[in-house]
Amino acid sequence: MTEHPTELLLQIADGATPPQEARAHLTTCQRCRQTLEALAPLDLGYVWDGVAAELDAPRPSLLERLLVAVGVRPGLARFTATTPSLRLAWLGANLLVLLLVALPLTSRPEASWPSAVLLVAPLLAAAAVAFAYGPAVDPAYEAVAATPLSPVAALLIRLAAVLVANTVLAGAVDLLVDDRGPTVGWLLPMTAAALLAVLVASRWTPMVGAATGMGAWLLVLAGWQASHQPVTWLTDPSTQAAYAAVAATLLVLLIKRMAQQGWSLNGPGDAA
Amino acid sequence: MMGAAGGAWEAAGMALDRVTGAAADDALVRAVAGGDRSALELLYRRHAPWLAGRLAARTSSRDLAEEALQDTFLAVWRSARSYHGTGEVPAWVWGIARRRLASLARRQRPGILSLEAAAEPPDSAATPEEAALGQDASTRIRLAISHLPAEQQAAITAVVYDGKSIQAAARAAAVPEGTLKSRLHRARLHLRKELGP
Repeated sequence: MTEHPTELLLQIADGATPPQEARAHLTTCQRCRQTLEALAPLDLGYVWDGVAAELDAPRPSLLERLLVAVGVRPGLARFTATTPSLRLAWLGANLLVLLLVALPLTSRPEASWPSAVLLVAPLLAAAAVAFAYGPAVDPAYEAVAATPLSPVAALLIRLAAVLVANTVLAGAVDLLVDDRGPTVGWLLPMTAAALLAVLVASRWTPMVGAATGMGAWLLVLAGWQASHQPVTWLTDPSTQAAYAAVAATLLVLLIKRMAQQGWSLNGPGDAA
Repeated sequence: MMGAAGGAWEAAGMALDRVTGAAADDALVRAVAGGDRSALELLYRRHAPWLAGRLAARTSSRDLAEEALQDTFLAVWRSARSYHGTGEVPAWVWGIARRRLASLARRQRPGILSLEAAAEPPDSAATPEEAALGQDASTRIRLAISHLPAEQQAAITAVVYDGKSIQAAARAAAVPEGTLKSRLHRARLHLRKELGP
């Protein structure tokens, strides 16, 4: 078709399906497209821009889609899914550390050492705080800092996500590699170390928080070594009760701090 | 405005012109299924104008119609693999567009879809040749245009027959673009009334 289907354009703009040869003409004829864009009751260029923008938009990660599917708000889901310490590289490094510690320990005949997971899980959870949030590690930090989400709330949300991931990892290593049988003795010290790290992070920086959490657990281990207690001391009920008491105290302090500070974080960027 | 479609399909433009529209539609949908974005743009050029007319006639909300049109082509992009028809692309895309509009209208503002739109037979695009005009129809349209008020007639002539852009037509008539657009709009309402359904 070389002639422009003039009257037909009016009908098309009213919603009539063009015949086959006219469709072929519309594919290539700039003039007829321009006429149709002028006649169209909708802004065809604007709509195409919208289609193109959607096609260009980054596809949400599997984790983000899962979070949205279970009812998490889309913005919060993206914020959680982009946690630096949830990246595969970080989780892979955690797994590697757990395995590297666990494998040599499995060959020790006598139970003179605590399980690898108990040794390492609290350290990893505290370290994760450093990589959960903050200008040093998060490429989206500036964008997040400008949102209504307070930094402490941000840190807590990400910490919760990281703790879940670490618990799954540690649990898997516990079940598969550690031959001492499945135990969740590491769960409370891990939680306590992470809470200490967050509390300190909310006062200073995530890095200082992480170092404090890790240091505290190393001190506990050093104290156990110096006391010549049997290895079961680290996981026996009274010690577990002490971990729980410490975790509960830290949680109360954290809530109190949030109530006082209005969920603000005295990080390097916004120190008073 | 739309950018130029790149890729092999742009080069094949003339070849597409020679093959029948139906075969080209099928080939385009297959290319879209293979992830060819320029093929989606060509499908948009062929089908968005009449889809826009139909969607706009079925809702009083322009935003809703535009959203439905956008969703339709996103759905075409995502579900092109599921199209196994031959030469039924218009009916297929209209089916998607109709469902998108209905679901958006239900979700956003219940009742915005007019009763006559909802009651219309769902497969009214089943024959792509629906709008094929005989000589009679062209004559009737030209006659109807000659009955329009002079300024509306001038607007239609400039845009449809002379192929001018809105900007150029507005310049030629020495009126703002908005005025020319509203003349075009009123002209089309007149024509619709005179020519009937």
